[in-house]
Amino acid sequence: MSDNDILIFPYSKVVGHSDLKRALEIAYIADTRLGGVLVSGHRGTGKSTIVRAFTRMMYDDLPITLPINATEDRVVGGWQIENLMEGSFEKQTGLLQDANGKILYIDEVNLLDDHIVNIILDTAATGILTVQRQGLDISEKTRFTLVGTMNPEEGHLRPQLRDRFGLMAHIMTQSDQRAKILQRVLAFDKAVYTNGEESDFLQDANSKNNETKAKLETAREEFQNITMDVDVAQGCVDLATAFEVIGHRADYYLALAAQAQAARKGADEVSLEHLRDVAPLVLTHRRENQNERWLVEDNQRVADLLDVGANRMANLSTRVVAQA
Amino acid sequence: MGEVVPDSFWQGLAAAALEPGLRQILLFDADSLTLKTAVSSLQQLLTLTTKQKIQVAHLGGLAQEDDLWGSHIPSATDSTTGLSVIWKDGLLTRNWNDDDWLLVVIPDLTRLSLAASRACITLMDAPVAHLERHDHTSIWQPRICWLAACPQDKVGQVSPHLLDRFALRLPTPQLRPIPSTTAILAWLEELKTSADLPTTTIDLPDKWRKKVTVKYSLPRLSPKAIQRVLAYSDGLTHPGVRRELAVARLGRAVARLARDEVVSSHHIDEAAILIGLSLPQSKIKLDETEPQKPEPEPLESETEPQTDMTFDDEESVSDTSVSSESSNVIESDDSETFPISSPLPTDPYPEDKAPIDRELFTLQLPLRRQQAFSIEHGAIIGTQPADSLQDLALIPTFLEAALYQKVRRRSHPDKVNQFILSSTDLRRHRRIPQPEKMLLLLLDYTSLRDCEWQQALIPHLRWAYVNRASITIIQVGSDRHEEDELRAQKVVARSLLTPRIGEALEAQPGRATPLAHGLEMAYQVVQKAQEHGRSHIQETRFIIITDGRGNVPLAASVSGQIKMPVNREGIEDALQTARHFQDMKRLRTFLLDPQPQYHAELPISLAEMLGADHQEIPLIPEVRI
Repeated sequence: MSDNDILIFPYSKVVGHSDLKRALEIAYIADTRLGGVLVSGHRGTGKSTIVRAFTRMMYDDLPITLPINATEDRVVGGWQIENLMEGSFEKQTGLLQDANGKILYIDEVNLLDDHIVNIILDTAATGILTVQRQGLDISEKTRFTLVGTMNPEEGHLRPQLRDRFGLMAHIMTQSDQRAKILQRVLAFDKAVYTNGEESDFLQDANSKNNETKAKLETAREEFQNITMDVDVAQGCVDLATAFEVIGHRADYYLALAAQAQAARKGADEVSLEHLRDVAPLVLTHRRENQNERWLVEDNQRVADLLDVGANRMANLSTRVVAQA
Repeated sequence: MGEVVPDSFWQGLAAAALEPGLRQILLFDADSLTLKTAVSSLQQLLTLTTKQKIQVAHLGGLAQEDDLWGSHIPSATDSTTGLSVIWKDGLLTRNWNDDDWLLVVIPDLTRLSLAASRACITLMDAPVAHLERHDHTSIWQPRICWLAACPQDKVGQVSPHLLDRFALRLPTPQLRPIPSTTAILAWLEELKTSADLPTTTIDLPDKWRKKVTVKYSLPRLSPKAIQRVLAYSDGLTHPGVRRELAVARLGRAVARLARDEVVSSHHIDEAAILIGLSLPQSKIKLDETEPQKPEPEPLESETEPQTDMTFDDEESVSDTSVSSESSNVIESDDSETFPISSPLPTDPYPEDKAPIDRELFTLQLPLRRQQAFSIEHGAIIGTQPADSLQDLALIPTFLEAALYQKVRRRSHPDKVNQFILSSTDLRRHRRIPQPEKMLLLLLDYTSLRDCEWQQALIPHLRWAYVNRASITIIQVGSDRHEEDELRAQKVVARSLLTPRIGEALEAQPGRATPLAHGLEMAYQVVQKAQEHGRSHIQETRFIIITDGRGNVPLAASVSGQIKMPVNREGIEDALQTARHFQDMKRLRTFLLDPQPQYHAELPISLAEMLGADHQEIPLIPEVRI
């Protein structure tokens, strides 16, 4: 059985979790520039399912996965042991190299050995994987989108690692969505039961996945062509200042994420509305109290700071349409 | 030897055999006979439903990551190098490359090793597994059925994250062996060739054999059945949907076993009874007004209406009602009737109410830190590269070196017949760090009312946190043990982060003050911690908060009976016991004085007897005035 034969719950059938979907899509459009997405949610909320589903949809494959049982040689690379035993040297790439230009997924990222965390931090900070061990001398560029899922009940993430994730999404299962989730998971069970053969559920899902994939690929191509007005850039600065964020990346990440959101929405120019949409994803884990949840009041505060009143937004929208 | 296995237990196991989503089974308070019976039964059922060979593996308290995931082991001697190593799959990866299924048995979930607990989190209920260890990389679909036992009164020791993975909770039957002369004679005959005890095998009844082997399409859940599933979790605050899914899948299995094509709300009720789940009170009232006989229920549509995959941020998921657009109605098979919810026999989720009896973040690996002393203490949880010869892990060191022998011998032709070891090969054990410092806190709850004792305690708690010290609290005069109020009580924890420490600090004052007994108990704790030759505690900080007014003589605490009047006997006993601490080494003692209004000299005298630093605790402002 190959990796592609393993049936994964389809992305288009995921119920709710719009924040996480938006974060993953924006990170894809920005193409590794945003660092990654941290997903925090309690047990059984479908964090891993969504990440796997998204990667299967976008890359036709499972994500490059760094499991919590990984040893150092598999993370940074090493020698192929069978060849070594025969007396010949042949390098084996590590997961950090394999993930170049793709998603590097860490399930239960807060359970990762701190030694492995240090390696990831070093690589993510410089964009260069440096290995000097067992006679290996490697120094090569590697950039990946780090996606980590965690259950906050099992501990927090070191601030340095947390800061590497450009976006963060808290997810929880809404009680009014449970019926629909049950219905879809049970329908997927049935597709698995028949090994995916003649499944209307999967056919429908694949068709919608293809639509989404095409739109995201177009958005990624257009990402560099999106322009940003100075008042939106000022909005990034205002938000970062007002929320007293830790570190120096929040304003940059706000700008990048807003640009990706504009591409995702098919706009030519970044609007304050796009910035407003991405603000929770960028700011929530950079506030001084990192365990604080993003509340409705925070949304209102963002809107007030950006002065995203009806008039201004209407004017902006009109301008975007006119330019288009 | 046979056992009487109740039908409901068979039904639960058969459901797990039919539904892959239910193959994480937890039995509370199962004795060894029950567990063995369950293993034997489940193995037979799974053989029938998966049509594959079922391997059984036992997971215990000693398993390390290499044991679980695989490692290099020595193999037959290589004629040219003198040695060789090969890869051996681990306990949980042994079937990754074939079609076999693995039945993993966990005899006691509370004793599962850290590595095994982390492996369970990774593999249970996962559609895909990844192995990235020691040059090996594999991606596969786990084919594992999990069967665990757990003492219900200790469920608070287990991570809820891990417990949540166990979808199917089955009430444990009380199995009774059926005496059989034939079995005894057969066993005696077997003993002539084998010293083993008789194995617990049980013959799968034909009834269940037939039920699980009938080829049947997967029944659909009616909208009412889904609403019924949700009714069981109504008002509960658990995150995620695993519990609802478990009930729905169990209901589907119940319907399959009854050969019904549609899962109705009555199947869901039967599933709930199987695991001991009851409806919330509000739903029971509503339920009483509903008909008892199964009604034909409309099916859900095969392809439910989908939301448009535009990039709208808020997917229109507010449609909470289950689609009922299909008008297909299939008459359900009325040949079997299903009971409506019965009174709760057990609670399938006792962890929701159990007191927390574990440290925070139990699944995290301990930090790698350098220890000044006693590095050899602590359970081994793995290996790591070493830069000294201390606590070497010999076999991993040997195996690491073995990989490079051919290469090294080529560089050193003069050593072709020697085993060449390099400093980079050295591996040492990775161990759970043992606390090297201890905070011993004696709290006299009857003396705390007027002072800011929490503030005074903070520097010492900070010391304990920073030094990762173990904590022992001696509770004197708390309301938590009124039935045994003449004695002090002891609360022990590995670290300050253990929730029961917080609970102990929040206790309220009781009536008696067995101060002498508390000091005696503290003395024993320090003595044991400093036990010659076995101790790893290098420093103890002893904090006493008391006004010195003990009113229970030591003899009364020991005998459990008090003779009135007490007079100063309790106070004198405390002072005498305190004297023992003066000569103790590696002990620093602080008496925090709550400044009592009467007999203010007592805490000072006690501090002198203890040889303690005397510090006054500020009074709360109202009292000061």
